[in-house]
Amino acid sequence: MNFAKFIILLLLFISSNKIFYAQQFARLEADITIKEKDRFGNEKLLVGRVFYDINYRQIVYDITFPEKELLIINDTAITTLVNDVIQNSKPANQLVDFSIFSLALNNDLEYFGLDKTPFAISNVELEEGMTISTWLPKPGYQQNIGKMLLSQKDNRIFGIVSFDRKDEVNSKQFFEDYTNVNGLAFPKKITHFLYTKIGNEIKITTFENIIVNNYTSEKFYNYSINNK
Amino acid sequence: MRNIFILLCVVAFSTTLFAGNASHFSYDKEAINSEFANLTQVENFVKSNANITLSEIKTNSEMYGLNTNNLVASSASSSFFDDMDWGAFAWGCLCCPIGLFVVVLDKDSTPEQKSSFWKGVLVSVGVNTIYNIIVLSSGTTTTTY
Repeated sequence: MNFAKFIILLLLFISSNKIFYAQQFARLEADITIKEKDRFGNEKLLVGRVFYDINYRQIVYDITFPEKELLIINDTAITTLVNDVIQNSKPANQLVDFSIFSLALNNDLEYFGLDKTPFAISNVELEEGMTISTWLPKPGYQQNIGKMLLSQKDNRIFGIVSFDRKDEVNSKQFFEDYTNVNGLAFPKKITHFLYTKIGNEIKITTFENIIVNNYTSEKFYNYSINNK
Repeated sequence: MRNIFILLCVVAFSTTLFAGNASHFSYDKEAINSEFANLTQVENFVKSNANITLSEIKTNSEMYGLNTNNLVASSASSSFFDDMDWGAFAWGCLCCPIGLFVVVLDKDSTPEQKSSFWKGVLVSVGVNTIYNIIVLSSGTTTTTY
């Protein structure tokens, strides 16, 4: 075997090795509940089950309350279906990659994918048992967005605070009650505060019955909206 | 002496600048639980009554002993489409603030920026591969988690 063949084989081996590790966690499903109080005092409740497969790259929400319907988010669109008939479809872009499901399965939850955005880490400090990092938009993007603070506890993301250009907090998220599902750490509770000029909103998302790599619910993981 | 003074000022200023960030990462859980007490009651009712819908609950709220005065539809279609703007969209789209930035930024991205991104990916893969070759050829064992 000459040196060139050896290198090619070596590269193939390394590639397959990395693919294997990347695919360790491919699927995630969970019961999901979203409770929300909006800026007008309205209360909203959504109950269902969510499915995500990193290979099919679509998030499927099988919603049972307030009404029975399916919500499908993929790389190009957000689609709702009732009784298997499309009710609405809107274009969307890159939402799947930055969903908590994708981040968790791809082992990117630690920094919530910030390291893959036009943000750069500018400061790290240890405070009150948390590692708090400050992220600033890279030059060229500073006109549109402000800084972000990210805190970690036990090497897991705990909170994200985003600021506007005037350094006012406009959003906070807390990731709590982590559970370990076959080696995958996943927060069972996410509390999200949104601060706006006309009022604040709070949303609490909880996950239960989390299952990783379930290959028996194929219909939901690979739901086809063609011909609907 | 003057330089030392300036250095001390810079250190003091930067410490002040970054101090107190931990205060951003706390909230009053009891107040939140109290604020969501009614919704939690509805949630428990819904979970113990499979297939029940919002309209049924609102129609029979007295019989069920639920306060549904402020309860409004939060169907996927209303949350995701009716109030469609990017802020509402990101808010509705499950824990995805970074996605918003990416979407916004992606809209403004130039072909050069996208090209630079892919060049960066290629460089990263190349460096990683060379590193792995060096590690393997030197006989060092590594573990990937």
